[in-house]
Amino acid sequence: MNLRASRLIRRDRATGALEGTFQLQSWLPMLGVVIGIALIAGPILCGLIRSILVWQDDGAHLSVVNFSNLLGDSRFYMAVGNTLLCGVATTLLSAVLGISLAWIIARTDLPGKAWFETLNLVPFFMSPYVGAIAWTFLIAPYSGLLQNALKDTLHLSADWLNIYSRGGVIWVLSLFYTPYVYLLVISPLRQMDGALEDAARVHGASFWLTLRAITLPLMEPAILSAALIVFITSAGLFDVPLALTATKGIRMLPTEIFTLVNYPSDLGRASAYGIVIVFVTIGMTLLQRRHLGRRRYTIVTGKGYRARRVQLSRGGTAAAIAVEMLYIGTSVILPVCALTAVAISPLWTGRLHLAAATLANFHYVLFEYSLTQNALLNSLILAIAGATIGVTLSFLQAHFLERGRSGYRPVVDILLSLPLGIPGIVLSLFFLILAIRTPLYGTLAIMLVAYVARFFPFSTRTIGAMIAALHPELEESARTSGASWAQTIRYIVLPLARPALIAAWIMLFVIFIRELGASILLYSSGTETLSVAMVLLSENSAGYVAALALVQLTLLLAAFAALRLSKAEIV
Amino acid sequence: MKTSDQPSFALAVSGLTKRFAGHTVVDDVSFSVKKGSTLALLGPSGCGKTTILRCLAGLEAPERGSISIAGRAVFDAAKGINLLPEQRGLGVVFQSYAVWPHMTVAQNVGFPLRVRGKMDADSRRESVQRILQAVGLARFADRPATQLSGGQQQRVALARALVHEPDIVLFDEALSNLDKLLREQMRLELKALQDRLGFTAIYVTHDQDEALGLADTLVLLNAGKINSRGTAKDVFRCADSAFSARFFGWNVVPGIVSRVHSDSGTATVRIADTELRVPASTASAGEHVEVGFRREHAALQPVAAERGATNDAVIAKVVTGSFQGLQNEYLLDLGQGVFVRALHPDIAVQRGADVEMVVALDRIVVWRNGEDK
Repeated sequence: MNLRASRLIRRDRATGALEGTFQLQSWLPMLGVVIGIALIAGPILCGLIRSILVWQDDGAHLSVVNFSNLLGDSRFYMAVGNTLLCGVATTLLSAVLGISLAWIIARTDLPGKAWFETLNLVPFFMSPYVGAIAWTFLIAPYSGLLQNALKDTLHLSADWLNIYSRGGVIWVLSLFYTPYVYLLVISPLRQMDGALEDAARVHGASFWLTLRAITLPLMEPAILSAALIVFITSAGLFDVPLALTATKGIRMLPTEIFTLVNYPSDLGRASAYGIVIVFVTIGMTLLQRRHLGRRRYTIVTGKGYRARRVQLSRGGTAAAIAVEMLYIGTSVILPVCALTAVAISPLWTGRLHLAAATLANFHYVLFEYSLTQNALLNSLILAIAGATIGVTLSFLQAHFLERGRSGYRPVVDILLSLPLGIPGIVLSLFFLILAIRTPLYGTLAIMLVAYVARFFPFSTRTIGAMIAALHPELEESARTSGASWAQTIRYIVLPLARPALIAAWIMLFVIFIRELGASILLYSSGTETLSVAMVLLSENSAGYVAALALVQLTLLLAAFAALRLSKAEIV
Repeated sequence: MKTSDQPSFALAVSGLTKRFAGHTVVDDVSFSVKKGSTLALLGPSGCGKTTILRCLAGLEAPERGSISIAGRAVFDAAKGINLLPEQRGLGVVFQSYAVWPHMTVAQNVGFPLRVRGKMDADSRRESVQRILQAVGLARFADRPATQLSGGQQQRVALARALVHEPDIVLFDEALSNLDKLLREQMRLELKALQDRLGFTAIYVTHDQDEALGLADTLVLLNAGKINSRGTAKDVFRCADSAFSARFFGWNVVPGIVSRVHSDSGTATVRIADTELRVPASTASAGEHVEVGFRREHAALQPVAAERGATNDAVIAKVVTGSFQGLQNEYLLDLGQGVFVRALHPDIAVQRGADVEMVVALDRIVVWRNGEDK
């Protein structure tokens, strides 16, 4: 009995309750929260300070000149316009695709649904950068596989189709963001009380009218929430514009920041850029939270109703299969085929010559080229260490948010969700400014920190949802049975939360294996990652890029398979 | 640690006060429990009874007061003592049972011994087997806990609370999730177990049958304060406030004293459209009072045409009657939205008909308004 320790008590300011000072249970989750807030606030503050400093002959001065230059520059507005256009179009297209796919899977009797259900999620695990590269192999004036195939078979010219365009960016982004909508919409669709739709039908509404007047309005909170998330994250994604438009003179916000850091380097203006984007995305994130807070999902009645399944007619089945095949074909099958074709060709000419097929590219990137070998190793180290650190941090934060007694929990919850909207390239820019004159510059460590800072909110959400679903009495009964807080965590909470911990770990692993935006400003010679190596090689060797992309894809799909096997749920 | 509590008390609570967000949910509550006896904390939902139990277990930290278990202070706001839940050596049976779904029955029950680490695996298994025997679950030791029925999970929770032989076991609405038959059976088994093992039990419940059936001492709570306490028989028999009378299912209706008959120590009270003679020694005319009587004590008879509503009978309109086995329960309308209920053998009257209701003078209790507010 440790009377002495438990006598040291103080009054908790938030609750007025007596709490032991030196108790693991209060400071360990708090530590996770403090680290999380420092990971967000540190770089943002750094960027903010850098953006209001200018250097003159006699030293640094406070100034708003970075902002006034930025806001007076027509190129900034071009980038804003292009990014808005692509973001909105991507949101609409992926919403249509995602809702259709979710409805087909959740509400129809389509044969082979279980397969489609798995396949619909595959793009969620693929790299957008690789997807964009694959589509440059498929559609490019005079060299695209698809264009050549049309020319060779039907003698049609499709050279007006150009992936290096805003349309191309929208197309590739939509393929990758469709699963976001799909995932966010499918569970409310599954849980919707079928009686609500039946009531419309028996009172005279047709199938289509019911869909329009009942089903979609009921889904509105989920759809709006998904749309906002897709808009914020797709507009901030660096990968696709880098691959498709950066070299073609089409300005986009994420690639403009990259340009400002590199040629010629203007960190002041780049920070101003970043700060503007951060405040806009934070505003939108808060808006989304407020919107969701006001409108709860009233359709989840929890009365044990099951949503009705629609029996598809023959034509309906054909249409549903066509939608599925279109999506899976363009997001998975065609890109993988294109990458394979390029990877096994000794020299890529836009046509596949099977007679000359070779594994030389794979051999080179895996066993001979030190850059790609290093990159593979670095990505594995970053992904494994990052996922482990991220999940640990998230578990502590989730415990604080779901089980803590602090009155500051709502504020902490909002603070910890801010990085969800901040583009990776912006956060890594701020980390670059933070580290540039320190020994951390150019190390794997600073990349690791940036990765965790950008993505821990994903795992905090997943783990938080799991802890929220555990009855608090499961933990309290352990305490009253004589278990300490640490024993309760070890024997009760961790085993019960295991599915969420596994899911969160795998998600972070996947994100880190493919992450480009948070890496591109922080790598240096020796700390290249898989995606960075692809960017470096993309200028001169398509074969190496394709081979490396397939190696990365193998890792990502293995993670997806592990997630499926573990039966863990993505939240 | 020296304390002034008498060691014969298994538990002594004094001046306990707990607030949530500025709202006082437990207000200066004191009580004590003798070793080996049973206390029930009884009251409607929101009266603070579960909060008191959670304070005892160390799951909530009160603002004021002290708690001592077997003479040892486990909480004392003034001295700054607040032992952690695991340091208090209690057994707790939770309302949700809180049986861990990732463990077998034996692992669940053996957990308190395992985390204490004072026992080797063999004697631990022996203790678990012994307690599982006692609750009738010996056959289920190696079953996953999730494969048990609600009643069996309840027994697992009970075995887990008893396995380390705590002096005090706390029960939070422990029986309320069971169906009626199982609940009554479990109540008897609990009594028997307690006699055998000799632990002190504290029940939190909103169910008066459960409280009356299990407890030696009852504490009735109202809005965080102790309303009344005593033996189960006392608290049940003499309703010392309109609140406790209502809680135990009495008819309690408002009225105004119209006449005082000081010679007989009675008064006539106007209740809605009728008048009732009640015992009253100090009432004065015009005073607002509340009048209470049990449903069982309201005798009904068809209206005798020649008598009218003279004497002590009250004329009431039958709203509805429902079959309750040996008796019918009648809902009676006294007018002006005042209803009372009566348990009486079938008197064959139609809905909407008038009946005479007679309540013996010594079965009526009168509270002056404000007495228990």
